[in-house]
Amino acid sequence: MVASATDMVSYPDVLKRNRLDSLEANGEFATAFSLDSETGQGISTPHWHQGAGAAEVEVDVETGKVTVLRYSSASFAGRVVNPRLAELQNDGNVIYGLGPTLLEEMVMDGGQVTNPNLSDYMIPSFRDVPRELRSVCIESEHGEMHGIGEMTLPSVSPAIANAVEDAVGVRIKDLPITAEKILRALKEKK
Amino acid sequence: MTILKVNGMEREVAAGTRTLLTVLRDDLGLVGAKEGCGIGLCGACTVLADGQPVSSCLMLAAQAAEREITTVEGLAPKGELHPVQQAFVDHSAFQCAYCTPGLVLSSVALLRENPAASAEEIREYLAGNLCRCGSYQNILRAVAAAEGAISPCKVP
Repeated sequence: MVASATDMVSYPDVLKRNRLDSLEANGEFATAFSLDSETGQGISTPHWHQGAGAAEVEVDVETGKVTVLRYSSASFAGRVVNPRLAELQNDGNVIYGLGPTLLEEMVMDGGQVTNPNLSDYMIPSFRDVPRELRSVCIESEHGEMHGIGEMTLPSVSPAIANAVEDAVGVRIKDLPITAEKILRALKEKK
Repeated sequence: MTILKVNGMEREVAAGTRTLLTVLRDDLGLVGAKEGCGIGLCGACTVLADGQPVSSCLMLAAQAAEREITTVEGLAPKGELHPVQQAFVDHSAFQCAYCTPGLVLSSVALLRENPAASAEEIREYLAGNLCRCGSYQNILRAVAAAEGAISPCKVP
């Protein structure tokens, strides 16, 4: 049965004719994705979020300590309902991301975590926040409203690692990017 | 039995060997103070003892007997908000708000001690209150905005 612009029935008429109180319809949008169970390769999700980050860092070449001076993040946000909370969540993701990037490491010994406390496992505090931190929510006229999630989180580690490389010419490939790793890499470079 | 002075009221509790945090939450129903780590490192259990921020998870209830304890519930009369609380609301200075009671109390103590604290001084003073959601930037804005709203007092 094909509908046309002239061949229309009003919603109340549909209900009346079929003796219904309301009309419900169900639909489904299905995408296919699969990971090869042997290799773990393939499409891991049908659902992608876009986020980006840029970092400016300072590396002390005598101690290896990294200070993040400025960080700017962006996420594709569709249509923003609450701009203040969206920005707060984006900024919060970045601050969280400083943890695994620079501070957090679970140290294991024979399967036991040897630093299960906040003294030996550091998470970002007030003093770790970059002096300049800002985020942008990119909207689109046709965008849908959806969750902001953690879109600005994944780019934190690579942005800072790239900035470290740009600053002192060493590429640290495992996290956290500690002062010790940087000093060791600088020494090996000489 | 121990008499505790909490939020201006005297409360009798069976302190035993329990921490102040446990007694506040379990006996007195003051659940603003939270246990984040239990070892005095996260600041979620912060309360004021004679105006000084302390980790209530490290203080025995029995030790609190001679001190004036202020919890977040005691900052303002019921139905009202303390200026620092209002500033936190105005600047959306929280996400999950687990750290918020501790941060509010630390901020109150800070502003009483140092009413014109610089951003650097605020960061330093509040460094002992961890916020995993990362709301630090808005917290800084809220505390800076609340300056001038608190009357300074000498912290003993």
